[in-house]
Amino acid sequence: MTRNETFVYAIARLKAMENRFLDRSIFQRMIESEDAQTTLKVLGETSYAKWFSSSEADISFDKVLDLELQGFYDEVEKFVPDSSLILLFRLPYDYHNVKVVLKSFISQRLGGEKRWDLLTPLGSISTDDLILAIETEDFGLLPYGLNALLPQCLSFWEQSRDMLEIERILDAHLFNSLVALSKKLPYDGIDHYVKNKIDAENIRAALRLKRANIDANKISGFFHEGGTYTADLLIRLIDEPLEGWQRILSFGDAVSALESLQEVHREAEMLVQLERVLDDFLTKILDKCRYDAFSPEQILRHIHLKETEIKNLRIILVGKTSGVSGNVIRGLLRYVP
Amino acid sequence: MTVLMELGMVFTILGAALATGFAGIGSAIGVGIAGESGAGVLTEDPGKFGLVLLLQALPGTQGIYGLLTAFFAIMKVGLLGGAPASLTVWQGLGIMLACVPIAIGGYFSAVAQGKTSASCIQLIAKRPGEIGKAIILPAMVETYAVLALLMSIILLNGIQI
Repeated sequence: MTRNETFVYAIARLKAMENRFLDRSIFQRMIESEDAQTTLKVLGETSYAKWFSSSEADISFDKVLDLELQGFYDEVEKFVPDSSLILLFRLPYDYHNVKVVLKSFISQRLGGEKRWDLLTPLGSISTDDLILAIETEDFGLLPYGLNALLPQCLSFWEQSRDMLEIERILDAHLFNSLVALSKKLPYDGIDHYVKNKIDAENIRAALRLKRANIDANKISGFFHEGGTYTADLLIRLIDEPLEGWQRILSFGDAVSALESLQEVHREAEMLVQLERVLDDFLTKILDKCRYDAFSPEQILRHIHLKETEIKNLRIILVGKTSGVSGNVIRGLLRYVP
Repeated sequence: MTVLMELGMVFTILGAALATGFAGIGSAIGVGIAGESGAGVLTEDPGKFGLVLLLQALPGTQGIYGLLTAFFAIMKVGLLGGAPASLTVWQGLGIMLACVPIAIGGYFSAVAQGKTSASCIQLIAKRPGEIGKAIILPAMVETYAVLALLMSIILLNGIQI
């Protein structure tokens, strides 16, 4: 059996699971519904219904979406032969949890409170293990090099009290871990996906830094290695008007995402729209494998589509709760299958 | 002289074994691949069992073709009737070579058909209404197994004993 044929079962099952994805008509109904409650009611008529039948009468949409995503990851993990593929998506949640626990730990030292409510169960490391490791300062059992990184972060905090820099160190470590993981996997498409994911993240960071007017000398550390574009090139974006970005980034795939941004003129809208087009760009990257019946990238594609669905639902539900108009919500939605 | 005549029979038996063995291995691999894909779909939707079974069975035909060719070969030399014919080395070698098309064609077409069936099982997972098209695609691969069988039978018939 060749390497890719080990995924036959998993890919076929995921193809069958694609029928559970919410389609455009459901999203349309949710956008057109009067308020958040009606939107939730529509969601309750779909495959998400199982989370509404829990004992909690007034379950929040955040909880429903978290439960759905957690249930999805638990299910997929049982039958995907190579769990590293799933880890590519779970690692960011781990690093989110690390940040929350670290900040809570520091805040507690300064007389503040713990924010365990911000922890997500979607990571690959149990939140209890993470809390225990940080509270007892026994990091030995933490994976992905966190056992060495966390003591460094704590000692850095003692010296500098600079939480932003600690976050930057953790983000850099996350992307290095993603690159290392993708290099270990013997599938070219996954390497390509991670490379483009880093490009997307770097472009997003460049726009944020540009808007924040941060000194160009201080920003190189905010860009991650492993993408198509070097940090030096990305630093050039900061002083360049947005119209010139396409020219600078023209040799990479991510430039296709920027092309559709040319129609956005208001700078305030730019970041929101950039987030959308970069997410859609990653969907397009993974969509290239959609007709390859044995490609392990299909697993990434399915997980990405599920994450996108949850993101779309969050956009709609947050929008409805805040009274945002349907047209604005529609403009923010990512790809819907 | 007797040893050479026995060698003719050995070649015939080897040919029959190759036809059954290789085509059978190909079918087993093909049906296995399609079966794995089918199991994935059935885990989510057991109602599609009928459609999945149909597609999974398609790569199994090469094994039958191999067996059929082997029967032809051994019947031709009288191995089944209990009165084996006396064969020259060239006759035996000819029968063995006549079995090669279905052995090779059967093996490769069965594996290829298994992959096509597995893909088509994914197709019906999303669009069960397209079962007609899903059967035609792997059936196209079958053409080449049938051609190999045909050539094996023609060649076997052409050998005078």
